[in-house]
Amino acid sequence: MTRNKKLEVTEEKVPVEAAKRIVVNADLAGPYAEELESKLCVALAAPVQGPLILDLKKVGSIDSNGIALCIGLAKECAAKKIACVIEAPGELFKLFSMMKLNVLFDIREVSAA
Amino acid sequence: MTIQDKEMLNDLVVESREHLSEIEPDLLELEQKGDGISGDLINRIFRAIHSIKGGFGFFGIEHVTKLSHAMENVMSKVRDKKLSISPELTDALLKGVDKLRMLLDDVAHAGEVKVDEEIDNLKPFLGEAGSLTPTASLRPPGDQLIDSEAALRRKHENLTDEQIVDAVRNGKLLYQLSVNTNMDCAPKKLTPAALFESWEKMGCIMDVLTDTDAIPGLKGSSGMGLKLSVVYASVLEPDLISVGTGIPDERIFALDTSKIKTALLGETAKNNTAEAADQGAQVAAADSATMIKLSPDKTQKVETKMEDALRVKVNLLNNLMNLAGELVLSRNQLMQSVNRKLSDAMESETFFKNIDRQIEQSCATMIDAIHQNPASAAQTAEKEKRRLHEAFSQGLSMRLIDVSGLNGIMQNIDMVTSLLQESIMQTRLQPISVVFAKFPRLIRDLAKKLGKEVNLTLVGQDVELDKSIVEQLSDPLTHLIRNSVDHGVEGPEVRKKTGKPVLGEVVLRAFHEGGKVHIQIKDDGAGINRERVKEKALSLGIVTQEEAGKMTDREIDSIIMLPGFSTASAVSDVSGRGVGMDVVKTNIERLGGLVDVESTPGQGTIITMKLPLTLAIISSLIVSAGGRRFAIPQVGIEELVRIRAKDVTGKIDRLKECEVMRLRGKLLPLVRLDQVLGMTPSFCRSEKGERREELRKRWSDRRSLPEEKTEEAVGEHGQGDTDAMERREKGPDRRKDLSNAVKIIVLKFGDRHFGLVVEEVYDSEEIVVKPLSGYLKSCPCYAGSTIMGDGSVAMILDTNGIAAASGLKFGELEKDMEIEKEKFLKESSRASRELLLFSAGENGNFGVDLSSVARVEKVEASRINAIGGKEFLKYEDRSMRLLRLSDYLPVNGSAGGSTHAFIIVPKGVKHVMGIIADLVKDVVKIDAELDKNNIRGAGIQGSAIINSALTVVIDVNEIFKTAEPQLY
Repeated sequence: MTRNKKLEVTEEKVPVEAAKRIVVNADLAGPYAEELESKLCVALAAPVQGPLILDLKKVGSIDSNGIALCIGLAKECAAKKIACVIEAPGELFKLFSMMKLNVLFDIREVSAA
Repeated sequence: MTIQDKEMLNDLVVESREHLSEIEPDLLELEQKGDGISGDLINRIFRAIHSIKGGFGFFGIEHVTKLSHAMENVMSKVRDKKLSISPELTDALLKGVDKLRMLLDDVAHAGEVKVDEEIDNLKPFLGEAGSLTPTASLRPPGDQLIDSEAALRRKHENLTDEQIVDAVRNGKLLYQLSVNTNMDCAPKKLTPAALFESWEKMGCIMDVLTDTDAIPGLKGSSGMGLKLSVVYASVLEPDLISVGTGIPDERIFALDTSKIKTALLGETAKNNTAEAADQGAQVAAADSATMIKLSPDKTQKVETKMEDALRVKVNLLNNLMNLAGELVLSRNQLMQSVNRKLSDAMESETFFKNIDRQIEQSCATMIDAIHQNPASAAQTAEKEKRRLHEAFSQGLSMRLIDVSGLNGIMQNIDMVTSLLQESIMQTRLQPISVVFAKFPRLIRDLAKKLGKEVNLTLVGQDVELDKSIVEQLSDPLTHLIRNSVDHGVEGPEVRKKTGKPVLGEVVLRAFHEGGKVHIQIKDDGAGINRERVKEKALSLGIVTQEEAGKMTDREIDSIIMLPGFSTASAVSDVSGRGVGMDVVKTNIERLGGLVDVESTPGQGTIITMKLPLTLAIISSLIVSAGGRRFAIPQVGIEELVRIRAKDVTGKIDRLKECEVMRLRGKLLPLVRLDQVLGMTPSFCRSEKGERREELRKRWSDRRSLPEEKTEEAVGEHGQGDTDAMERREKGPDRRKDLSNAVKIIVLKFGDRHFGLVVEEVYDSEEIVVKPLSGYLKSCPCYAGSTIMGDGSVAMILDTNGIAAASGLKFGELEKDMEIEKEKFLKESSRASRELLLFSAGENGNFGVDLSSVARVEKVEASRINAIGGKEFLKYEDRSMRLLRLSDYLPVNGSAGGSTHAFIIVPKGVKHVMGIIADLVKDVVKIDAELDKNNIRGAGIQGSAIINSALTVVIDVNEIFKTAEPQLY
């Protein structure tokens, strides 16, 4: 948890796939995870056409709450029949893979921002 | 549960029992040494409990896990010096050990056994902080008993064999950690990534499973934390893994990798046969702590650090033992066969010499024939040629088997077979410490219960005995130890009063002596109260008042071994029911052993059990009856008696329906083996050497021909038998034939003896005991069977069984025998005896039994030397002490002046001394009974008027005893 700055979530439409991308630009830990949870709840309240992409490119660190949030998101998406994609930089990608979270959502390794 | 699962659970139970057997003495040592004890002992106890907890945790056997966890927590506090050792703590832990043992005895129903009491006992030692229940959330579900590896595989299905084997090969231990991030990460502000990173420094994370089911959806997910199951390989030992990973013990399960290690060991052994040979893996029960370390370059060359023991199934050992027995029997048969052939070959050598002679004779015959009748010479030559050819053919066939070096090969096979058999027998040997280990606890608990202070010393714990014997020793030893503490060692007050140290001593000692293992239980207690034993025996009707008066100390002591005998005034749960000593005796005798009691009032009691090393091979005497051979275990044989056929009627008598023999003044009941086994009795016909059916019903039935018929014989058989006697075959009297001597094996049957009459006595042999098949189990006369060198089967006789089957009623018989004995003694005292009459001292006329005199020497009086008030004579190159009867008997000394003296040298005495006589008068035969009242005193048998003179008959032994008590 080296970069404890205010969580900013950018929501953008991806034209080609009509997907909703949620970009997280702070470490996913402690209260930030709760904040993101409520924002994601809001984002998912509206109808989503394509897959939901959680962009963790800028996330340097994630705690158990953050991981639990990702799992919760994937479960929510599954319930709503929305494809869930998590884009994670190297370290996070390794951690998610190690924890076998790839069975829940599609994890894509991306370069850290 | 699969067969493999069951096998693994069984293995775990066996291992856990071993752990428990180690924990108990360690706890007692801990209690004894207190807080000053080294950390090693505490860690050893901790590790053992932890292993039990870990193993059963994975099998989902909750009660074992719960109890062992509580015990582990207590030991953890002891290790951290937060808790002091006290008798109460030891009690609580020992009770936990007992309950664990009970749970392991029926592990399938362990869930039905309550462990709350034992856990409650431990609670006071833990305080508020101690957690008493493991919270392992990832334990296999429900009551399904599954093995640790199977559970792991089901959960962690991505885990490959290669990963596991590779980790074990690298000397790592495998753990399954249940991680709860809310408990294990959040308080330390650690992310899972940071936690895993720290773990990677000490080992290798092999697999992680996330419990995603616990998070149903997005809402609330961010505060839920994670539950993970991690398979972790590390070199950290079980007692350090918790510290290393930061996960509490109760959520760590050590995986049993012993099977993998064993498999790897096999692989290693293949690659390094030479090294494996050096290790000489002994087959014995031992722990499976085996480490294999891969060399840094990770090639197949491994550096092996292995224990020199392997766990081997008892069935396998039994099979090996049986096969070794078969091999011994085959060897014996081969040896007999080859020896026979070799002796034939030797004979053939003689035969060749004969042929040589025959050639000479044939040549001479032919030369004669040529000279005397040339026309028939060719015919004679042809005849001689045929004769020689036949002789050669016969000799050649015999020579063929005399293969070069066969003798040496046979000797080698003989030696190797014996060594193999010996080694396999050794695999069955177990140290007696297996049994001894439970007694420190027993003594501790008993002493506490009885308010006594007792110290137990164990000696010779490394003495080994056959597994089957060791297993059956537990009960008898427990009874003896209980008796020592309950009846032997006195209470502190009594000990103080008698000047003994308050701390009583019980020594349990095992040692080898005379080819047997002796186990001694010695206490420094009060000893056997013989008066009380006698009183109790009288009140129970075991002995009569008269018998009790005549009993020796040893006989009184042996009463405690009788069924139902106890001097305890009250029956307690410790002892007093009177079954203990009887059980001891029965069990030990069943094992082919003996029990001996030796007690000194006020000083203590020593009970010695003498046991054979093994039951698989025993020394036995081979006998025959009814034309069949039988083996009698040597352990039950007292002596062999041979009665010449002509002496039979004089020495064997009938007492009611039983035949008895007079043996050294005692009556010995006889049992005929052929009759007990329902076989046809036989006798040897001297003129032919063959055996014929014995028609006599008893030995006193005399074979009498009409002209030899005596009055006694007629009276005995009556007129009706006369015809039958006349029908009998005329021939030499069988009583004159040596082979018809009666052979009696005197056997011990508890404290009693009986004689077993057999047809022939052969030799003593080491025999391999084969258990009886189910069909013969109900035959009480047989203890087993064996195969003889010639391949025939011989039954092994059971002494007790034969006594029972023969219907010998010792109780009734003994009473009758006692009457008979008294009659016999009375008759003997009346019987005619030959006395050597001599005079010594003034008017002293003496007689001594001639049978007790070795010789009489006439010596010059000057040869008798007096030194220090004693007289000596140089006799057969040594000095012999001489006694004058006037010094010991009420007679006046001799006037002296005689130039010669007679020295009577007795025989059959312990230390030879001579009796000085003034004159040797005569040897007389007297029939009169000695008068025992007129002249009495030590060394006087009695007196009688012989040749008109009052003669004192002396007892040489008694006089010597009076003269030199230290020598007698």
